Amino acid sequence: MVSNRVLEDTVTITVHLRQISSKGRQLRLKLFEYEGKEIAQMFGLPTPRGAVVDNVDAALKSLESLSFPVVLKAQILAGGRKKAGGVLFASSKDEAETLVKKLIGSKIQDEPVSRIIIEEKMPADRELYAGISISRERRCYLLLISRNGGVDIEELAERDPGSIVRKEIDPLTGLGQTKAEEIVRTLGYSVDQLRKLSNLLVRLYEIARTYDAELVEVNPLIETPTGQFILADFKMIVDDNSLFRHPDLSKRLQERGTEFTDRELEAQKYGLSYVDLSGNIGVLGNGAGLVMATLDLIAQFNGAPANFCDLGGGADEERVKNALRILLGNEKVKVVLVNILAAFTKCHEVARGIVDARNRFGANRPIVVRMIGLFEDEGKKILREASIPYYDTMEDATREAARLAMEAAADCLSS
Amino acid sequence: MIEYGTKIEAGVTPSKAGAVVEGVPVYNSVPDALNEHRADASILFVPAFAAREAALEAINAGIRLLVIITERIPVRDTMEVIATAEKMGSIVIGPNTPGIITPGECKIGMMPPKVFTRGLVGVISRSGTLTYEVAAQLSNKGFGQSTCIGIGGDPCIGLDFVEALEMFREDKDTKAIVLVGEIGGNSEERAAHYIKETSYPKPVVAYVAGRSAPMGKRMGHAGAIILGKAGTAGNKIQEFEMAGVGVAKRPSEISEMLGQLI
Repeated sequence: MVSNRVLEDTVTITVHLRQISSKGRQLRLKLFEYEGKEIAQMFGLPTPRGAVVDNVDAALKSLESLSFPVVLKAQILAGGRKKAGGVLFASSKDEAETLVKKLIGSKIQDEPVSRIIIEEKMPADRELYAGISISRERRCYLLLISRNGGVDIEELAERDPGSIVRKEIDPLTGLGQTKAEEIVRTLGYSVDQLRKLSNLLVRLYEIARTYDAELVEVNPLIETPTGQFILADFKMIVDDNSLFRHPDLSKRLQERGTEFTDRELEAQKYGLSYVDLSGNIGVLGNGAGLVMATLDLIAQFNGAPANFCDLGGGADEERVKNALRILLGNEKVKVVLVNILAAFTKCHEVARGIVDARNRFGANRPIVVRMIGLFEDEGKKILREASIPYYDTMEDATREAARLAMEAAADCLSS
Repeated sequence: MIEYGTKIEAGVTPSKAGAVVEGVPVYNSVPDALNEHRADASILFVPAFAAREAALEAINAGIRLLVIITERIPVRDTMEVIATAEKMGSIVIGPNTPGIITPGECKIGMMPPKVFTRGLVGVISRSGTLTYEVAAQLSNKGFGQSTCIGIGGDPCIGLDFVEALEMFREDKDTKAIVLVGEIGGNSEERAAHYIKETSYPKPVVAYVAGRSAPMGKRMGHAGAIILGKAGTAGNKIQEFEMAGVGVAKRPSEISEMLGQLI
């Protein structure tokens, strides 16, 4: 593959973080297609001839060494790229130039396109699907392969589940050539193609293991008329818990993560697990399950949560204050509900954080607290002195918060 | 744990051999500790990057019950630990769990003892503080617990709902079971099928957190994420109800439902 980027001895892959949750550095990492293909190449897997470019001149230059037709692919992290017009075909230089200008700098799925891949369109006898994922249930890697690829795998799984071969891979023994050949044989391949495809799968598995991937997906895996297998696309999602052992992946936080709101991005900096929702009751608690249960309870009282926020264990005054500051930064929030069942977290520290935040960022919005557990008497005293209501049960606290939220909404309407 | 009555034989911290903490001698490794002491179980608080090694050491040294408190262990490591445990006939509880407790007898974990009282209800939960919430409410309403097992919030865990239900099935101290689930994965669905298919002989009440969780967003726990159609609270609740398992709409309703069954 002709690449515009200089590959050094240690390939520096820019990992663009697609953050789905924010608990400190706990992030779900998705690589761009071009980054994934670079890794695939390192592992000896064939990809179409092409280049990664970020401007029209480079694009035109790269066309000099490619044969038409070519595919132009927007390098974005969001799914549904093809349907959104992020994958285009060109049969001539002029056509390519027009399409390059159209793609670079545009937005696909709300994501700005700063890079595209230009590569030769491979003649395809077949489009296969090949992937390595993880079975939570079986606690092992799964090899997934189908001769009917090229479409969304979930769609395929629904439409024609029998066409997807699923094979568990023992985490202790892995996927070797022999096992891979057994699987590929069932697809009807023999001799040369059998060996090639099996070898490809073994290498995909090696990539998954090496990079602590939660998912490695090639869709489509093209089978050419001459029986070659080429990786037309490459998707890889890396287990965020494994980052500590991948110094070769250099992190560059996206300034504006397309998947994340500003508040969510900020919360990460403070090690908070925070998700924006659309209601007017701000929610904070200690423990993900407890917070989820609180959100559910709010809905049952006809309220609408503005967010999910888990303080995590042992939260101190600072952490509580920062969480509330972020939460209260949301103008939609009319009432705040804090649910603390303190096992190791200290109630009086939490109370101090609440009072501090209310004084500085509260802006006349009521805070309702449920607080029981370690140092609860001390904590309640602090809240009492600040005239912040507290309850022993999450139901009572939630009921009150929902009531206040409805009042606030009614006030808004009447004013 | 010591205060609670758990018999802690030894501690293991590499390079801290010779120290004594709260009257418990410390060794450099599990094999070293097992040279001087007998132990059935081990609890692991080791940081995520070292958890795999510590867990494998314990399992290979003969520990048959391993409780892994640590969260954020890479999933590849967890898979390896669980596969090794299976080979060696060991049970792993967790990771990312508050532990296991038989009120009044023994606690292997970090749950606050006050909310648990001894009784006839077995509790199996994926959560941390939500487990304490449920236990507290059960205790308040006179439904003490026989044993409470935190199976953990990670996507790949050792002992799961089905295995725990199987154990409670034979446990003479347990007359009813409460399952505390959440969005993500299909462990609740599998539990529901198991209950139905084996005509589970004891009453089960479930509570599933995350009915109002949006798709695609991880709600705290690594395991709590709805991907595509899989893992919604609605689906889990439906499967439970089809299996004849009552599902409480809120934690406080669990006791009410138990009251009607036992």
